[in-house]
Amino acid sequence: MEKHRIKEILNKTVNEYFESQDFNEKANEDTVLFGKESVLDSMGLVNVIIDIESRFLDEDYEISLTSEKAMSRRNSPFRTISTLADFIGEQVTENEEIDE
Amino acid sequence: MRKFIKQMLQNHAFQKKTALVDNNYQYTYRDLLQKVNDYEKLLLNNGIEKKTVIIYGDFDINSVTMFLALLITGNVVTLMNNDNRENSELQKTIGANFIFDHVTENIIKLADNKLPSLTAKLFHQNESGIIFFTSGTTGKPKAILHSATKLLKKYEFSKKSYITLGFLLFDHIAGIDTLLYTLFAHGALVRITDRSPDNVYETLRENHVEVFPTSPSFLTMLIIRSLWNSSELPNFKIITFGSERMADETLKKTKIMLGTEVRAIQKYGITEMGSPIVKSKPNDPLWISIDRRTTDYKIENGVLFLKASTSMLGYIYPDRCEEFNGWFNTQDKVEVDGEWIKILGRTTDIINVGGQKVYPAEVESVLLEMDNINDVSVFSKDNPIMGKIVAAKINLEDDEPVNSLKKRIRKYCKSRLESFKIPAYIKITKEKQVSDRFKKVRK
Repeated sequence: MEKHRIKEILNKTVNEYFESQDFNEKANEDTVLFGKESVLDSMGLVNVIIDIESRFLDEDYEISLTSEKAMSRRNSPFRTISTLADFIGEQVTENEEIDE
Repeated sequence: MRKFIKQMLQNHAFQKKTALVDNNYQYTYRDLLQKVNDYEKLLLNNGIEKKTVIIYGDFDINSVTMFLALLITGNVVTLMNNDNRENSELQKTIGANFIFDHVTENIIKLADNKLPSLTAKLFHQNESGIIFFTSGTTGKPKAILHSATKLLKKYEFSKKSYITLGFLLFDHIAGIDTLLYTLFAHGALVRITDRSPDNVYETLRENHVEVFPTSPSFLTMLIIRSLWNSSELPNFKIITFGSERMADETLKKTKIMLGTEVRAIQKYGITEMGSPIVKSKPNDPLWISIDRRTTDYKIENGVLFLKASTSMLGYIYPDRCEEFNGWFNTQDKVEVDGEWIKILGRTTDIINVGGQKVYPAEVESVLLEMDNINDVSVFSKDNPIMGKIVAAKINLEDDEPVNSLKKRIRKYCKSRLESFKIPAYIKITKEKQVSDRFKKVRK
């Protein structure tokens, strides 16, 4: 899966969550998901993570964003949509290699 | 026990009155008495006294009268449905001596099982007993021994005679409560074997049933099926529900379905403690008041504890017995307002989301208010961030993509529930969310 496609899915998923919460925000690759500047509270982050995982599952990619690996990284993959896309990119590639 | 049951059956005023309706056949109190007398003789002739006997049965004439005959002759009765038939482990645990088959009327002797000490103590006092099984929290059935004298005493207060549907199951304390209340009040019990919403409704209608004891989960099924037509049920008076917390929304829909002439009453029962006599608040039956004549109660940390004259003697385990005395922790969280108590949910069902408590029933109630949602069960799912999160399995009226449903749920719940209570995980299912005992399945 191409990086821009991953970002597309992330933007769409996060935007849908923003809409459901009546946030006047539009997601782009610099949108902060976790941290002080984020509009998401902890429950919001939990929701977005679950949504993203299930979106990728719809595309037949099984990813886990809350694995030991993700949680223990020095630079949290949840900082922005862009860093998250990188992190998902790694898992998607692993997925594709297994399939081959 | 003998005198108590015989007096009920022999009462002259009711000899010609219907006691039991099975498959359109009506049995009078005289029929019941005759059959009980026959069985009593049979038991005595075969030396079946102070024995433990399993009835594989239902609310048919044979099972009902054998149940009474066994109590009269000083035995311990265990009620089982056919699912447990081959379970020799259970038979061994309770020290069963005989099996009564309600279809063939055969009494089958079992291999010698060891008499549990609790049962021995009961027999020593020349008393009869009843054993119920509960699923327990581990899923392994637990055997609970009751003294029949203690458990049946409260039926001397049974006065209101109604035609009642035997909907709650025969092998369950709530089912036996329906049976005994009905008989001691000289009402009529209508047997039902097919418990689908359509057949239940037909049976209510055809038999002019007045009282229908059921569960909130089954009421949800009835509401979805939208069969209820009050004009077809002119005699119908009371619906009772218990065994699990009813969502406020289900109650609201139930009231609309039933119309203003029908009363909805909540019951409360715990297999270990019997069913206390309770009164429902007239305008809001989710609030109950426990009658202290049979049951005392206290509330500790919001959890209900009961002490009852109808409490069990104890548990029978495969290798030992555990005698019970004193206060029983119901594990039901309650809200209190003077004499009134509202059941919030089982402490074991509570979902702990990052340290904050969520009652599944509260969330279910809000979701049920939404369009296109027929039924819902709320349960907990592990989550690495919050520890647990709220998850919901949903039955829809019409197909809808999960993402659109999720969005609707979040929008709707936003103003109704705190954010940690809003289901983070949503699954659409076509499966029924009700167990064989018509309780909500939360997993």
